[in-house]
Amino acid sequence: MPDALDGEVREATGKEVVDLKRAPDPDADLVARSKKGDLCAFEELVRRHQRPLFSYVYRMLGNPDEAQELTQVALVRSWDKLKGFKGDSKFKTWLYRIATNLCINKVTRRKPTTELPETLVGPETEEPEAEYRRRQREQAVRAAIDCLPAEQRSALMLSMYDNMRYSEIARAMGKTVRAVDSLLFRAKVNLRKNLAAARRKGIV
Amino acid sequence: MKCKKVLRLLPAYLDGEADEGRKSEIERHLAGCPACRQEFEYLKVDMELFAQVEVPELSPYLFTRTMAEIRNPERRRVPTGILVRRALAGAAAAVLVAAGVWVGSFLGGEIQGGSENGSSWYSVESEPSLEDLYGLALGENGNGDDGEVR
Repeated sequence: MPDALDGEVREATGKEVVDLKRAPDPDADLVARSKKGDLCAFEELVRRHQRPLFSYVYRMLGNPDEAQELTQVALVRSWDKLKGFKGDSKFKTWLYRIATNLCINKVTRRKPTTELPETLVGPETEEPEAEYRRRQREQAVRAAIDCLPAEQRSALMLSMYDNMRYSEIARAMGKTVRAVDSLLFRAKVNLRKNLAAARRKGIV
Repeated sequence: MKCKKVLRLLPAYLDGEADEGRKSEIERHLAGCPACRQEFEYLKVDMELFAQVEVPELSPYLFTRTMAEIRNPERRRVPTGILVRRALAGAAAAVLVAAGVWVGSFLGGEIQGGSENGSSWYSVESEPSLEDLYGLALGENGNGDDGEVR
């Protein structure tokens, strides 16, 4: 749909330039000190970013243990590669790019999920109806996310939970703004498809 | 603006990424088109559902483990066993490549011209057709709306 997107993408690219000029990186000072080997400064960067980074990775992988491990790997790798960080983007965006690559590798190495489970897990114990419904809904949503291809999932998570603009997502994923727009469009259409069965059963 | 274009731009519009010109065109269209308005509502409902996904508590040890790993002087030292395994894997790969080249040159005559039609071995994942989206939008309407695409 290039004709439909031309205006949108041009505009988004323009915003990207403006955003870069207007918004200084809040981590710039800590990054500069860390580059000189100041571990206290890097500790502060870890404190700032570990929670949102873990949330992003968890939403990508759906497994808390794997998410903890991969978050740690991403943070350690960011320290190792910090000297190569030129400040072309915010530190956060650069850190998320490292995590995104790790997540996409991990997801694509898994056995591909092509179908949603026909039946969702039922209540094992007698639990209140509302709690059971909530768990069913969460399982359906999780399954719908797990069926998304890794890059679509990544773009969606960065957009929804980390409130990144398309231009920032593009940097975090090493893509163009147009590619991000396309990934997000496909992700949202696929989510609708993936949720259709649960919706018919009244689960969501 | 036609429904087809509006439906394609709705996700970006919902994310606040549509430029001002397109935004007002989309809003004008939505005001007069029940089918697209319905689709927009579905999109919002989907996104709200996903916003409810809960994230477990962060382990209090993540920070400690991360910093301990960074401070670990042994971390970057690659164990000898791994170096040997890497060397062996490299040698095995070289042998396989050489064997492949030899077999390829041997069979070259037989497979020549096999791709004359220029067709690709792989397929690139493309955007879903807008019919997918219309189908979904119309299929879920269930309100008697004919959902005609203008």
